[in-house]
Amino acid sequence: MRGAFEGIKVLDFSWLIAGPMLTAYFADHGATVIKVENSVFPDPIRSFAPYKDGLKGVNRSGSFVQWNNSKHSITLNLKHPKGAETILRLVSWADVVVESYGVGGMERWELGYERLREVNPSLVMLRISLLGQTGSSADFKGYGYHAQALSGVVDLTGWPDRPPVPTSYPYADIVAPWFGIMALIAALFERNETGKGQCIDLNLYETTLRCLEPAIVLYSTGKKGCGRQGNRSPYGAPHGAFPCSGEDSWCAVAVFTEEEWQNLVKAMGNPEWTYDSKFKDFKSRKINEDEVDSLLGAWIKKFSSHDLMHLLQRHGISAGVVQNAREVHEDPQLEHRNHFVSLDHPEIGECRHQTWPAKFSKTPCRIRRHAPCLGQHNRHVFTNILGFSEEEFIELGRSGVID
Amino acid sequence: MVMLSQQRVLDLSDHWGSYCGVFLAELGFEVIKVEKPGGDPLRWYGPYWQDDINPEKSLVWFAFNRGKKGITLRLDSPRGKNIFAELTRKIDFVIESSPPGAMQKLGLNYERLSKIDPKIILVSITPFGQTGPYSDYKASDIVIQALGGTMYSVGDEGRPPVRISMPLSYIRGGMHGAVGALTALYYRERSMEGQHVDVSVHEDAARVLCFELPCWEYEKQITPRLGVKRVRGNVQQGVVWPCKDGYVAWSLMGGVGAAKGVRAMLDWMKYEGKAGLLSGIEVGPRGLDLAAMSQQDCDIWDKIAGEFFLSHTKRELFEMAREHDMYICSVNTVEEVLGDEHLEGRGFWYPLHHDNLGETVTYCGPFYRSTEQTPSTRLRAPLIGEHNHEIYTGVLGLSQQEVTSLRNDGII
Repeated sequence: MRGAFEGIKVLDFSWLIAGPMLTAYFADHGATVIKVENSVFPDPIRSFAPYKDGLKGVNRSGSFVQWNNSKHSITLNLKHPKGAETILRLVSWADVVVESYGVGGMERWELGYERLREVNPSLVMLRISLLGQTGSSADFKGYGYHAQALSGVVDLTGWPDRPPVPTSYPYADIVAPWFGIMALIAALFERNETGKGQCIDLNLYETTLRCLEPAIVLYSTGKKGCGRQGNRSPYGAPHGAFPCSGEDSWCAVAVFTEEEWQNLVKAMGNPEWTYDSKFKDFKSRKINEDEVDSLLGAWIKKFSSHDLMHLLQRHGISAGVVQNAREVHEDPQLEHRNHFVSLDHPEIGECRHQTWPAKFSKTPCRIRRHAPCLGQHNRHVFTNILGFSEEEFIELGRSGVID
Repeated sequence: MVMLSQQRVLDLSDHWGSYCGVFLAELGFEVIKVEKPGGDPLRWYGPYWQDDINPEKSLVWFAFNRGKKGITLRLDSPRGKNIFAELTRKIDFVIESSPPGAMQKLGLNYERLSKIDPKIILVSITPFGQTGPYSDYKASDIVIQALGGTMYSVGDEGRPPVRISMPLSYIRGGMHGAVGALTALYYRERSMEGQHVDVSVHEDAARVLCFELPCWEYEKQITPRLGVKRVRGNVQQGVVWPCKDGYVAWSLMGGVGAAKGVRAMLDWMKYEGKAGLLSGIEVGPRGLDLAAMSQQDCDIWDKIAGEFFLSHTKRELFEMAREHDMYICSVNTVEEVLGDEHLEGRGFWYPLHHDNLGETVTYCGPFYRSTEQTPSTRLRAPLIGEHNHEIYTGVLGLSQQEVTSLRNDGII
């Protein structure tokens, strides 16, 4: 079966998470993605733990594997006098260039949009930055968690009586790529229609803000939002994460309608406390929510998190185990979706690569190759893809353009 | 983008998929929301414009349906089904988020729709996907955040895992629907074939977990909940810090790239006489080697930085950080986001006039800019049946009498 993006050629200068996730999506759906790295300064995520067997190495990082499915890796010295010339050959080959060096980053090597489009007028360039290519704060240097903080997501995470908390993952890094994919596909349509390329300004701040839009609409119409609510919701009661039997084991339970409340009462075996008028309807349960939580919690803690989830689901109640990473790896629904694909990696051995949330009936994603070793595809890219002769390729290596 | 603006979408989805149409509408697609006569249940979720409980004034409805046209149709009646089948010939996409099996019961599953039009693209957005052991499980945002693993390592020690207090799962579901729709459209342009796109919001949550999944796979470590801190390599570091007028985000960083900023921050602390035990330290051009630092070393930095932040406002810290690459930024509240000069300067806020309210409501602006075109929304969320006449006569070619008859019979 063909991939949806078969034939699309992507030159990928991005690193860390946002850009690489986006290009991995295209690669798994058929695009040829060449990841431009450098032996002295490879993608920094190659130096992020965890490592296979705890041994550091540029090809041993599990964090790198997560975001680099199906790509080719080349190593180029962009500072070499002939480096730029070689890169421009790749730019001519490409349909798309993706970068995430921040404002002015590509310009340092004279590879800004104006230069690239001289060489390839129908090129689509996607530039990922934290706060945008322009604007009063565009010069701020930061990472995904900064965009998360600026966008209001951090302020909305945590307990009302405690400081806000970050998430353990950089939220903004896994929002922006999806909007980037939409922008890129729209640009490819434009190019197919008109032959024109374009330069896209995508940033982590504004894309994360799009996920907060309901709150923005609320505030802009004079309403005050609820701020950090812990695990509560203005639309449900009970609504929270309850401790189950077992250490640090929790299950989320969310009841929104009267029918769901009756289902929960039934699941609990119709305990007397539920007949108290204090809990007779949503409004009353909201007023007495602390007490609801306490009484419900006393019943819940007898169960394991998984048993509770299945029991409540059988009764038509929204419930889900608060899964840790091990449980996510073992999740039967994710297994059914073939979310984790094990591939053999030359240095790591067998390792899991992740697929994507949308499954396509005619063009399913296919992980073409494991996350690449540093510079693994120099020969293949320069000789097979770009058509350099063997002598030219050897010369590139000897002269240090390929490093 | 002529090609995209020729695409027509029928949106049957509820809150799980509603944002799909919002994003597609911004890219120029004609998105038609299909509601049951009387209005979609989402219209009954407040808060409401000026607290006026009215199905045309739900702020939730506004946010989840901007950019769309609206028609009404009873899909569970034979006549309604026929009309839908006829509409299918005039459209390119159906977006739906009903429980798996429901579309089949209505006779509107992919097999049937593709017989009417092989080019049709059906995008189904559900909590867990169309098939599998959890496919008929009930979910809400907290359940997705829980099962996806994104709650477990968030929150204070000694308290339950905590979710982000925003129903992000629904917007993410819509986002993936839009990505899926565009991917399928790209394939269709070459192949003339549509397909079924099956989105699982739960599977997206698993993709959100960045370091936690490899930490289990490679080191059999479970990332702990550390409140305002996080684990980086072998140490725990602070991330969120109280300052004079709120909170800022900052973490001690190592390496060449961060050297300038760490040195500048240390110099600033020294200048104000607040460097304490760090007063004798110099940061070289290669920066700090975090991997070589003990937890105690990191704690010293964190303690001194934490005290330093308390004597400065968010604005002071952010502005110095910008100038010297110190990697400190404000933890903005939503109000502060709305007042951000940077966003104002970029023209990010998008005012849409609501003629029915006589007022303008502010929405978020485009999710990208481009040298060629920038996406935009032209329409506010539709009123109940607002475009019945336009779509049923204009697109489907029914006569006015037929439309009146359908309305009288409660089909629309």
